[in-house]
Amino acid sequence: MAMSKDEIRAAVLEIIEEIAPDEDIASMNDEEPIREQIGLDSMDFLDIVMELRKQYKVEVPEDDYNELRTLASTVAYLEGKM
Amino acid sequence: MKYDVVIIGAGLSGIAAGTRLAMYGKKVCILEAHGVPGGLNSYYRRGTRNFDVGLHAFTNYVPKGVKGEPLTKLLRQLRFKHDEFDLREQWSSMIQFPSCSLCFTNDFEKFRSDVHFEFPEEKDNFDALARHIDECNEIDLMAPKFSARMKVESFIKDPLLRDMLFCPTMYYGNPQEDDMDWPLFIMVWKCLFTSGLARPAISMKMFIKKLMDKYVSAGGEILYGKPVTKLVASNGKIDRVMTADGDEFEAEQVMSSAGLVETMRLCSDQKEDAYAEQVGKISAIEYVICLDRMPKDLGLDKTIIFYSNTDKFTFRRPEGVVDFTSGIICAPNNYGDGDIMEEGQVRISHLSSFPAWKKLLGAEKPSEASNEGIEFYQTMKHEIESRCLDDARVHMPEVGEHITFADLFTPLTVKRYTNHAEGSLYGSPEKHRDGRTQYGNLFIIGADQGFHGIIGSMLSGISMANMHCLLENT
Ligand SMILES: Cc1cc2nc3c(=O)[nH]c(=O)nc-3n(C[C@H](O)[C@H](O)[C@H](O)COP(=O)(O)OP(=O)(O)OC[C@H]3O[C@@H](n4cnc5c(N)ncnc54)[C@H](O)[C@@H]3O)c2cc1C
Repeated sequence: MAMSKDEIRAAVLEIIEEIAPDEDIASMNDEEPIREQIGLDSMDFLDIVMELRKQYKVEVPEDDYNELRTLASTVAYLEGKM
Repeated sequence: MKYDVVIIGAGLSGIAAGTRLAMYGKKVCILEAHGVPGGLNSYYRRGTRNFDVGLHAFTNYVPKGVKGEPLTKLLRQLRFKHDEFDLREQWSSMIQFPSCSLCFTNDFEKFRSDVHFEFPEEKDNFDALARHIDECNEIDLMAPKFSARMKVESFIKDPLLRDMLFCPTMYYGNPQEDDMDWPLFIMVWKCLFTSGLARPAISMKMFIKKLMDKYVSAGGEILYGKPVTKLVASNGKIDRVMTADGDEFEAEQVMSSAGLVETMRLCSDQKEDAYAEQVGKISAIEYVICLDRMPKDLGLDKTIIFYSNTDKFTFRRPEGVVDFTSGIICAPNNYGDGDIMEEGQVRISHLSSFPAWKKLLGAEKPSEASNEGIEFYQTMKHEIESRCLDDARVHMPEVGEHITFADLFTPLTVKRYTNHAEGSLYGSPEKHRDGRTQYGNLFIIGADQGFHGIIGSMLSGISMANMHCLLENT
């Protein structure tokens, strides 16, 4: 069964929290770029992509990386894919 | 046995690379020659004491939450929390030359104001250099080679200040004689001055155990007492990895932390003395003294002192056995509240020549030497020890009466322990920043890839694993 928007959001936050355990994930704003809010660099960003593949078997091709800019756009992009 | 990736060496770069690979489902095995992990930053026992092999400091220290720094990147990539290593900051360190001393702490402003005070004419030049370095990306894999001497000279006019800046940066990682590669200079500058020095409150043994636990729980395998003796090459690829006991391993990819020259010499289609011109010449002695009290109680309250007895600093393999004109004195107790180690300890290092020690002993190992050679070697060791003690007396006049144990390692010890050609400390002057070799599936990680130190070598393993083994398939 497909995951709901809320479930996807929680799953993405869980991944971010695994990658950046020292950051305050709860105070993240859904509309602002993820990278800037918690200082993710390109290596960390690729980990989000790889964790999505590992944990949820979702492939995010390089052309779509832009869709993962904010939490809101990520959830919208992943809806129906996981 | 068949693996996705075989890693040569369980030093910090090998463990870090392995952890990344195992985390993302690669079948990976580390082959380690020794019985314990950690490589150059491992630990050993003498009598009832545990020693760290080389640890002076964790460089690159930044407090929790500072973004974009090597330490932060590394913690994230390996999924550690900052608190897990319980890092304690240095007290203060010093660069000491006959006509001037400069102090630095983990606050760059302190260093900057010391430089401004001692070298008023160079104020603006120093600030411009610092700003320029700030703007450079030290872990840019494509950074071109360039002379750091020339670059620094283009900012700083006073040769004394220039040499004072080169003394600690060269000592903490330069594989090259006289000059230094500019990207490396930036890296060491940042790891010493812009960020800072710390030490895990847990011992190096516990630190490495934490790393190993993570590797193993991610599914990584490791075999100890397995020196790799041959990499069977054909058609520009490594087909099989062979160990001393005759075991064979097949792998899609091989990552080696054994050093560039050392790795190439394992390849079946190379000569025994292949890559001879790339052997690093920089090696050192280190004299470790244990004390019945803390170094500060004997007068040494600095964490690390980099010094030169002449205003002109030279960094090259000495003609004789040891070069006493410059050196490092480190008090590993002088971190945090001063209570992370139970016993007082001081470490003294000097540049030293592998060929000179070898000539003296008449062999590379005491076990292969004549009685006469061993006698020469021991006599020289005693002489060196007493000279090192003189260095320590400058800061702790009574040190002689408080020694409970002492141990000297020489470039021959470094060779025996690390198998690095000519006991080189920082590997080859030729770095291979993208990790590639002439073999399509063989990659170099660790010092000879170009990132060094505890944090650097781990980042090296991580970035090479990402680039060559994980992202290739994305
Ligand atoms: C005396 C000294 C003091 C230092 N002090 C500090 C310090 O205070 N702070 C700091 O940040 N850095 C320090 N460094 C630098 C730091 O130790 C190194 O940069 C770092 O540990 C290198 O890690 P590595 O994984 O690249 O290589 P290594 O640690 O050299 O690991 C290589 C591993 O490969 C194994 N190996 C080699 N050949 C084979 C083979 N054929 N088969 C199987 N296994 C093999 C070795 O046994 C070893 O375990 C120091 C270095 C030295 C020498």
